[in-house]
Amino acid sequence: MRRLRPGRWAVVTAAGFFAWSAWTYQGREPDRAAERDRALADGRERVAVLNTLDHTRAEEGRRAWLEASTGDLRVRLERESSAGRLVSSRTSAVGTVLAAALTSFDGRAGSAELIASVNIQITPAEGEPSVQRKRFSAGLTRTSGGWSLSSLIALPAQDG
Amino acid sequence: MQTSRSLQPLAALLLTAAGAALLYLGRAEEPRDRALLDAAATGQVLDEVGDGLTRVLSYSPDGLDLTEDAARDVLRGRAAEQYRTLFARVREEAPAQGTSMRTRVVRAGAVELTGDHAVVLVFLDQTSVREGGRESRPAAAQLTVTARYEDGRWRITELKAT
Repeated sequence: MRRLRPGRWAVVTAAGFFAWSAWTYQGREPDRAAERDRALADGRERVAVLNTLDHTRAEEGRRAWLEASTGDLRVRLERESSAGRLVSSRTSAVGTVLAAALTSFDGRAGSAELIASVNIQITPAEGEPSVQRKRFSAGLTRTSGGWSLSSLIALPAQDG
Repeated sequence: MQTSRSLQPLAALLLTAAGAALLYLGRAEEPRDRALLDAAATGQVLDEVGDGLTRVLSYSPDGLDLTEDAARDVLRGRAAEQYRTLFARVREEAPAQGTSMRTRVVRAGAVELTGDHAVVLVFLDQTSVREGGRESRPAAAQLTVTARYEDGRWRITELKAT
């Protein structure tokens, strides 16, 4: 039986090291960070959209709501008439997200949760505009058009 | 035969160098911000920041020392300074009025987690209790908290109402 020469040992060992490095490299995860950042950015934007409606452009606004949502939330928005109520009272709302953070993230399943602190400027038909501060918890689902809201729940202060 | 044997060291060297380069590249690309990617680290910062906030933002008229001790433990830098001013007023008013404050964390999410620096968004509910046990309606608060990992735990360096 021929012994492996030192030269060949070196090559075999080096090849093994290279194979292991290549395997480690292809398993790295910079993409997960990008996905996480995308979920937060999309989520923030869509929470603002769902707190915004210009009563003079209600149809546009309602379409924006549907585009920003998915799943159960979208179905509910299709049926509900919150847009209708704002329109009939000639009230407009502009939502601005002051701060937001993900509270859970599953890049593989394409689902995440977010909390957001939102300023809503309400402009009624008559009278001065007023500002409300609201807190939300939102569910996010990755769709072909980015991360959309599958749920949006207000979090008022509660006895507990 | 002779040729292939003299190429072996070169081949070994090239393979090793290539492997090392891939390892280096891979490590250089590790996301700096581990928020939510590193579940354990994220959980730890949320727990410790949340716990710290509960302890420094809750007090009872005859337990003010406890709260002050917590502040000394948990707060650093600007947060510690801001707090000293606020707490001086609490020290004056709380015993006189017999008021307590109860703060609890409703939600918390990591905005950023890099090395020993973190930013956390926290939703709090705060209830003040008058002498005789009458509770106020709870108030909602939102804080953006900056924290630094120091001496084995996360310490709060900045508090900003959001």
